[in-house]
Amino acid sequence: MIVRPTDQDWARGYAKQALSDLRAREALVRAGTDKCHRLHFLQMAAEKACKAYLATENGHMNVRKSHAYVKRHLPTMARHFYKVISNNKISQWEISEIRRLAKEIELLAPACDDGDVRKDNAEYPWEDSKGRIQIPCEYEFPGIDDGDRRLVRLVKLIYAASEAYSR
Amino acid sequence: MKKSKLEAAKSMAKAHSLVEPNLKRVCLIEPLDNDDPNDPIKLLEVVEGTLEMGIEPVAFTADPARGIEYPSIIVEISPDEYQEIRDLGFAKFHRKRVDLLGKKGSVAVAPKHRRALRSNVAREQQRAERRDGWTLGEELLAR
Repeated sequence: MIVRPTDQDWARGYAKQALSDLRAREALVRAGTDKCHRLHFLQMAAEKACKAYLATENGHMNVRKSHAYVKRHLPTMARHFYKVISNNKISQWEISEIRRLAKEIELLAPACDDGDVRKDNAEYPWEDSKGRIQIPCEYEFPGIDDGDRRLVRLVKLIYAASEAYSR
Repeated sequence: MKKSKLEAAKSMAKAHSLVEPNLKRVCLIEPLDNDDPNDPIKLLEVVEGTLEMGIEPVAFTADPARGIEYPSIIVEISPDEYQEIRDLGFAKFHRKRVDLLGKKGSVAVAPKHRRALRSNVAREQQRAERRDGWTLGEELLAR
C-alpha cells in the first residue's frame, strides 16, 4: 500500500529546497557572479518558502506549479513569522518594503510578466520595448538592488520560514 | 585612494543606520583580513524587533561603481542575542542554538524524518565550526 505524502511532507520538501537555494545564493554572492544568478536563486528560494507556508496553511492540493506566489504571500508570511518567532508585530513600513521587494522578486521568474508589461527576468533573453534584445547576465535589474542593506530582512524571513518548515 | 577595510566598515555602518531605523548597534566581526580584498568585511548588526534565528550571515558583493569597495557579510541579531554572544562568544552561542534544534526535533519529529533532522543538525555543526574563529571587534555604531 502506498502512503501518500502529507501536507507537512510537502511543506518540508519545499522548505529544504528553499534553504538549499538560499545557500546557493550566498555561494554565488561570495563568488561574485552576475546579478541575474544571485537574483534567480533569491526568487526560487522565496517562491519555495511561500509554497511551504501555503502547503502547511491551505494544503498542498492548493499549491500549484505557478511561480506567482511571492507577491501575494510573502507579506502574509512575514506577518505570521514575526508574530510566531519574535512575538512582534511587524511594522507597516517593514511590510511595505517586503511587499515592494516581493513584487520585484516575483517578476524575476520568466513566467511572471505583470500582464505582458515586464519581460525582464533572471533566466532568458527578452526583447525590450525598443526592439533590442536584453540578456539577463548583462542587465542591471534596476527595480531590485541586491546590495541594499534592506535585503537582509527579507533573506532572514525566507531563512526563518524555510527552517521552521524543514523540521 | 582605496579606503582601508576598517574605514569602509565605518562607512557601511553609517549608511546602514540611515536605511534601518531599528538598528541599535554595529560591531565589526574579527578577524578582518586587510591583505585579501576578497575577504568580506563582517558586520554584526543589532536590530530591535528582528526575527531571532541565531547567526545567519547574509552576503553582499562589492560594488566599486557605487563606492562599495569590499564584499561584506551582515549578521543581523536581536538585542537579546547580542547579549548572549557577548556572554558566550560566537561558537558557543551558535552551538547552543544547534542543541536546541536537536532537542526540539527529538520530541516533535516523526521517526521517518529524524534522519533528515540529524543531517540538518550536522550541517549546522559544521557551520558553527567555521565560526569558531570569529570574535567581536570594534563597535562602529551605537544609538
